[in-house]
Amino acid sequence: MVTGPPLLDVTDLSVAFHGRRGVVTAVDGVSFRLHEGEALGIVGESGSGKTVTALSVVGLVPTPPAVMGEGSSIRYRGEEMVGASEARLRRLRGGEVGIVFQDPAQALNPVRTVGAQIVETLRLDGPLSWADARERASELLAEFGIAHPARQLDAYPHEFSGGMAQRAALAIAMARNPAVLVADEPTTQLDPTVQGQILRLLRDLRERRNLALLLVSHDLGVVAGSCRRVLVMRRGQMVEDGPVEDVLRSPRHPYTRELLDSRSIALAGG
Amino acid sequence: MRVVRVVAGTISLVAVLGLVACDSDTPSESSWVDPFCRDTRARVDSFMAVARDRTRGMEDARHGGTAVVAGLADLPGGMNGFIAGEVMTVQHHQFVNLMTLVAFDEELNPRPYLAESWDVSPDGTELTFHIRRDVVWHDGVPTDAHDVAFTYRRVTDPETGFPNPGFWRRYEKGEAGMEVLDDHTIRFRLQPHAEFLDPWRTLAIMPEHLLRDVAPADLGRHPFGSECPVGNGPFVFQEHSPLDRWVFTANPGFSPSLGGRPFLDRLIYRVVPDQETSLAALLTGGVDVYLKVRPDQIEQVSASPDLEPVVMDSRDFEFVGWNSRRPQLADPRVRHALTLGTDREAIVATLLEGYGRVAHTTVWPGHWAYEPGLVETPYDPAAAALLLEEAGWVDRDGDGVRENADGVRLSLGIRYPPGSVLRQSAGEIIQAQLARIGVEVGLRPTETAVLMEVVTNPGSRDFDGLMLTWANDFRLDDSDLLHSRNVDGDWGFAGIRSPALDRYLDTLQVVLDREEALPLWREYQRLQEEIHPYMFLYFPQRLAGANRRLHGVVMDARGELVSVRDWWIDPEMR
Amino acid sequence: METGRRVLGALCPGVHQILAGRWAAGLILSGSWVGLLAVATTRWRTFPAVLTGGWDVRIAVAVIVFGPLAAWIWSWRDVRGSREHPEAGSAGEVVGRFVESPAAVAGLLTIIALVVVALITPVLASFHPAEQGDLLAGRFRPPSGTHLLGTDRHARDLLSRILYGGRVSLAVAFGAMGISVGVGTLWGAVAGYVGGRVDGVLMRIVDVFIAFPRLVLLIAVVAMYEPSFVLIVAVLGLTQWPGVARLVRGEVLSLREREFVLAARALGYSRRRILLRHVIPNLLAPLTVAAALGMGNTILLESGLGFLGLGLPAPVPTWGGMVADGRSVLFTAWWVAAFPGLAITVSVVSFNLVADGLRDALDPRLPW
Repeated sequence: MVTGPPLLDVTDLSVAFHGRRGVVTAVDGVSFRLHEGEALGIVGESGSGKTVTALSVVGLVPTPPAVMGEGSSIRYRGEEMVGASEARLRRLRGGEVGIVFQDPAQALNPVRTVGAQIVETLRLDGPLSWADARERASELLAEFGIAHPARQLDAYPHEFSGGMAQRAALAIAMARNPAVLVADEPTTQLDPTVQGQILRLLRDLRERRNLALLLVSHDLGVVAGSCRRVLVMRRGQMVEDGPVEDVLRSPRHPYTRELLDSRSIALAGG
Repeated sequence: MRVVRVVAGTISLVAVLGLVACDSDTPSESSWVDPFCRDTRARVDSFMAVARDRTRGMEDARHGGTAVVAGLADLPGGMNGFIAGEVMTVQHHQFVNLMTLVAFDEELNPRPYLAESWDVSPDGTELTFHIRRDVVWHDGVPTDAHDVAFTYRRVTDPETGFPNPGFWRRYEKGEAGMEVLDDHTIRFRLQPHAEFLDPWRTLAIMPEHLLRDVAPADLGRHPFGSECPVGNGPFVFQEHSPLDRWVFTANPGFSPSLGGRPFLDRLIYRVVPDQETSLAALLTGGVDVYLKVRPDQIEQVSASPDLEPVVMDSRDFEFVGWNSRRPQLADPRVRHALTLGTDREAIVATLLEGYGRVAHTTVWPGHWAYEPGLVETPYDPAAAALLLEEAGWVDRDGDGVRENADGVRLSLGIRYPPGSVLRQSAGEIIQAQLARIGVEVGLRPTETAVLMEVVTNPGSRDFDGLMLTWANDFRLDDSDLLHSRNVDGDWGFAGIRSPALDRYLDTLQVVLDREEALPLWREYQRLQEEIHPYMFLYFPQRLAGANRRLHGVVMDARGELVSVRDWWIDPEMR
Repeated sequence: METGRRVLGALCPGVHQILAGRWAAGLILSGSWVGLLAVATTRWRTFPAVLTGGWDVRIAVAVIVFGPLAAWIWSWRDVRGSREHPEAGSAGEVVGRFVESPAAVAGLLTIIALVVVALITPVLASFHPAEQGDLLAGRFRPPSGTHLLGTDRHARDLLSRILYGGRVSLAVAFGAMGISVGVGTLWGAVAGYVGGRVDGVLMRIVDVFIAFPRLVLLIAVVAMYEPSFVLIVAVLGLTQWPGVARLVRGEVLSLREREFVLAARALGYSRRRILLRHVIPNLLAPLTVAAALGMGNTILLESGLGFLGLGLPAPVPTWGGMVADGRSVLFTAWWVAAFPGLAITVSVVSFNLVADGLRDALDPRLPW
């Protein structure tokens, strides 16, 4: 159950892009709360603003050309992150909030070994001897379900299959044990069987580390299986918000009904 | 949008092409012409037109044609007799565009030229010139004694910057030294000395009526020299495009008693800075005469049936001038050793292909006091090594270069003007040979302008050695180079202070009788050898190539252009 | 037969690889083995100079002694099968594609040969490059037994001069490229990554540099100051960096948008870290191509300077200077200009071939 004050408190978030053709409002008045250990899903089609919302949490939306609307507020553990300095945001990223992206092969540096990339992150928290670093990296890979972790430390990203690469990306993102993980379409590029594995991995992570999860996807089924609450977005606006079972059984918005109809959903339960 | 781009692109392309095309053949007239030049040219053109009409019908079969002479460099100073010191430029004054009072014949005896005669007072202190009456400047104004007076006044004025002040050392300078007796008679006062007529052989008389209002200090920069000279010689200035060519046309009104108009219609001096290109131009007929042929090129000239090689003795010598102010070079034994360690015979044999001979003193082979074998430093590296050791230079640290007791390395930098393959090669040979006796030589080609500054400016004499060519006058006076009073002057770069040498330098100038002077010359040369201010290298013979269609070409120690008045072109080959 | 091959392979490195069809590796191995051993056996008498000579002699002897050893060890390990599969990583694929082009391999072998020869020149050259023989009788000798490529106008051995000239050319080229790649990469990377006004300022400066007529500038600078090795390297390096900067900036602009850069930012890495450890390492591909081309270009420029008499002062031999020397005797002593000219051509072409080969091998067919 959710306890205590929210880790992440997003109020009235608005993001607009100023381009040559005018102003495009990507996110319009989105609000939600994420507590420790809680899993929140954000669902919507492409263009719904879900990715921009997720990226805004760590300030990764470039502020020219984007402009945060007045009144937007993103609080992490009570501290306001909108307008915070780049240095503060950098401390937030990786250490407090981790992100994994859609295409794991693209999200890893192609010219460095996976092990080197893990070690690089680990070293941000303090000096680490070469031996220690390799050991911890190896443990991390094992924890994320990669076989023969010691050998894979010296492999390059393109040698990994899609699923393994995503595990590796997750390992790197979680290496410094952040409290929140933002996952932007983490399974979209993967085979269905692998999708399930990754989702299960996420669930284990949440249990083991009390990880708060912000799961963004266009696939309501994915979200339903992993999250307790869900937020439906359409064209930048929140159209539905509530516990998963309620949204699935009795969607209030016609759009949600459309989404439901387009897929056969199975309730994953708890 | 696309149409705009295409149009803009085309316009730019056309503009670029236009600019490129306009630049190709620079006309002699710059877009802005000095008013002085505009007036002068107009007057010359109209006078010459009249003169041409007057002499129509007096033609000779040999008249006509254009001869092109290729030289390595432009003529610095142009037809400005006040400041020009470079050898080829002075030859243009003497033989082409201007006139000197006196000229030499083949036996090097002075003969009348602008001066139709002269008298010397019995005690030798007064020299009176009688100026010809039939010489006229190319703009119609007659030449007379006032022009001579004007020229003398200026060249003896330090403000003007005449490059050879030594000419007038024993003349009384300025107003006090001359007296204009009438329009065609002028008298000079001097101390009696040898070869006193020699300066009048090279000093071109300048037009007083055009330049009298120019301040002496401004004479050097006046456009007269390079843009609109007015002479009185056999050839009239036509045009000059800088670094490219000088064009002269025949003067139809040149005094008939001096030979009348020259045979050539036009004489072009073309600047071709590259010896390979000049040779190619000569071989293909692009130029008629190529001066400064390299010894290794002369064979190709001889081999061609259309060309004639010309070999002439010169008064030049090539040397390395040491800066005796430097610790390494202060000891004459070191300077001696450097010469002992250089195989100069090999240099003459290989670089000059035998066209020249080793030089041991400043006295050149055609000089009356020249005696081959009088003094000679042989090639003896062993003796050189011993001498260096004796002078305290030993290789103490085994790096192949000698040091003295204070640790100063015997390392010398030789500066020289770049561009001459011969000089570069000589430098490399010297470098290699001196390396064998433990002397490190660095070769430093130095831009001519910078080099001149280093040579002539006493404040910036930053060099160990200078490799240069020195062109002697017929009157051999080395005071500028070696007299102690000139140590801080223009040419005293060697820094030699020797009272004995000074005495000889002064005495030799005033002893007029050659028999009396000969033993003194011998002693002088032995002293040069003993003091050894320079490493004398060689007296080169000057080589040239001429196209056979050009007749009447005579080149000798007086200069390559001495006979230019008499050059004529085969009518069939014009 | 098999044992025969194995024995031969063990004795002579490279044979096994050549027979297996791996030409590049095989030729490098056998070439260095045979070549260096040949030099060792003919020049062993010069080895004692290690004790008295300078660093250049020591390096030369070290290469001659340890080179064949290294080749033998490498080949032995290779034959024993410890290298069943190509090198790990996509580098191996690139290498594989590179060796498919005979021209590129030829270029690479030539460059390797040039570098090795440059290193062992103090031992290899029979004559000192500045040593003048008998001026009258020994100059302009055609190629013969004693002077394999003839002598020049000062009776100096042409082959030795070409060898030493090669050291100069390569040293200048590497030095200048080092400067231009170093400066250019940082400049362009910062401009491309930071963007905005910084990018504008940095690239305007680059534009100014590029607008200078490079050859004229080179000539002017070298004519004003006395040419020295450092000056020439500096001048050549500083005139080439703008090109590198532009190239790098373009690459960085596109790399900046890649997802792993975003991921790196998501991990909280500083801009500097991302630039140095993530972006620049991904540039190495086009950068190497540019560097290889730049090497060829620099050798040409340096030869041009030498030809005009503005290179290193005598008696240091430079290929360009030697060509200028031989110009006047082109028809009588053709070897004086021809061989240095050939050296220049071969070097420049080799670098260009390698650059082309690299460019093809690094084609967008790559996984990244």
